[in-house]
Amino acid sequence: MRSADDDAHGLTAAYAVDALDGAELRRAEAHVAACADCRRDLADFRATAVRLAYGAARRPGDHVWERVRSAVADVRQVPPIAGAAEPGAGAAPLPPSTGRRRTRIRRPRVRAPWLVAAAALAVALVLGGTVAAMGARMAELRSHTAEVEALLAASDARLRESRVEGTGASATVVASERSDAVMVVVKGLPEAPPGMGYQLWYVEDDGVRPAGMLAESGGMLTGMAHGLGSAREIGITMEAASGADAPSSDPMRVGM
Amino acid sequence: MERVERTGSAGPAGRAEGVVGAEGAAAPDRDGDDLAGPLRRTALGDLDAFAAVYRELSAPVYGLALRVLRDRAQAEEVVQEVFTEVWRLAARHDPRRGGVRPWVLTVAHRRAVDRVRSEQAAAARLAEAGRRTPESSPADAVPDEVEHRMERERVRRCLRRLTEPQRQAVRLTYYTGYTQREAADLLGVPLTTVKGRLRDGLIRLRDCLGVTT
Repeated sequence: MRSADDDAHGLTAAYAVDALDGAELRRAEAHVAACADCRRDLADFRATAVRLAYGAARRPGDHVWERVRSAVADVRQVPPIAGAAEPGAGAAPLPPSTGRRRTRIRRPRVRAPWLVAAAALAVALVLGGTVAAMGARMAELRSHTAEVEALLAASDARLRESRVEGTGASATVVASERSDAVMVVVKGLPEAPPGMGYQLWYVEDDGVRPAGMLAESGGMLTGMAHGLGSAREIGITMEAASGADAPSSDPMRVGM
Repeated sequence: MERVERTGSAGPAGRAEGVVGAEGAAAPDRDGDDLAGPLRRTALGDLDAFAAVYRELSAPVYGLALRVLRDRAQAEEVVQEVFTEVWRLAARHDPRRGGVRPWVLTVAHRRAVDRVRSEQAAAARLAEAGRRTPESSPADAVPDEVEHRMERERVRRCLRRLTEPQRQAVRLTYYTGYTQREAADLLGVPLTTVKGRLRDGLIRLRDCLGVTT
C-alpha cells in the first residue's frame, strides 16, 4: 500500500527525529506546515521521541545547574510575540540560532583538521560493510584518544582487518612505524575466565615479545602498544590477567 | 503540579523528593500539563520555577546529549545551551502548540545533532553504528541512576519489540544523529527502505509506549 501518504508519513517521522537535511528538510517543513494530519503525526512522533530521551535520561552533575543558573543571570528574556511560530512544529517557535541544523553551532574546542582527515582515511580504508564495525571499534578506543589520534595521524599509518587465525574472531590492527605504535581491536573472542585475560605479543622472526594485555570493553577487546621493533605479526594468547613473560601456548596470529 | 511547587529555593539539588513520579507512570507523555505553569513563571523571571523545569528536564536533556555526543563535557554544554534558551524564550512557548517537554527535547536533540554533524569527527560519528543492541552502549551503564529506571525499562522493552531493522533505523537517527540518508548509505539499503523502517519503528514505539497527544 505505497502511496503519497506513506511518503508524507515517512518524511514526518524523519523530521521528528531530525533525520533530514538540505532540500528534504525544507520539503518536510513546507509539507508539515500545509498538512494538519502531518502536524498531528509530528506531535505524536515528537512525544515518542520525548520518551526515547527519558529512556536515555541521566542526571547531570550539580555543577551544571550552577553554570546554568549563573549563565541565565546575564540573559535577557524575550517578550512574547503573538503569531510568530515555527511552522507546524507543535512547539514554541525556535529562533534561527537554536532550531535549524543548518546553523552550525561552533564548538569551543576545534579539533585539528588532520584528525578529521585521518579518521576519514581510516574509515575509507575499511571497505563496504565493515565501516560500521570500524566505527564501533574506534569508539571503543576513545579512552586512548590522544594516542589513537597520533597513530591515525601518522603518515604511514596502515589499517589491516583480518580473521584471528583459528577462531571466528576478527581483528583490526592499525600500525605505524613512524609513531612506533600499534592499536589492536578484537571482536568475537570468548570471554576470558575470571583471573585470566588475553595478552598481545609481537611476533618476530626470532621469537615473540610481550605487547601488553587486551582490555575488555563493550564486548570487544582493545589494546595499544609501542616498540614495534621488527614485528610483522601480532600474536594473542590467554594468560593470567597479570600477563606473562612468554606465551603459554602457541599464539593466535593476526597480520599487521 | 504538586511536585514542581515543592522545588522551593533549594534548586535542582533537592531532587530526591517528589520528582520520581514524573518518570513513573505517564508524566513524560502528558505533555505540557505539569510544566506549563513553571514555564510561565519562568517567563516572568522566577528562578525557582526555572529550577523546577530544570530539575524535571535536565536528565533527559543530558542523557540524550550524552547518547548522541558520547562526550560528557559537550553534553554538559548542550544542557547549558538548552536551558539558557528555555530561560530566554520561555515567554514564546505557546502551550496550544505543544508541550514543554517536546519543545525542550526537540531543541536539545537538534543542538546535539548540530554538534555531531558539524564536527564531522568520524570516530565519534560512527560510534553507535556498529552496535547491534541498545543495551551495549556505555552511556547506558549507569547502575546507580535509579530515578529514571522505570521509564528506561519501558523504553527498552518497547525498543525490543521492534524488528531489528526498525530498531536500527530509530537508533541511528535519534540516538546517533544520522540523517536517514546517511543511515541508508551506512546500511547499504535504499533510502525508501530506511524511511519505511524509521516510520514503522516510530509508530510501533508510539503505540507500545502508549503515547497520546
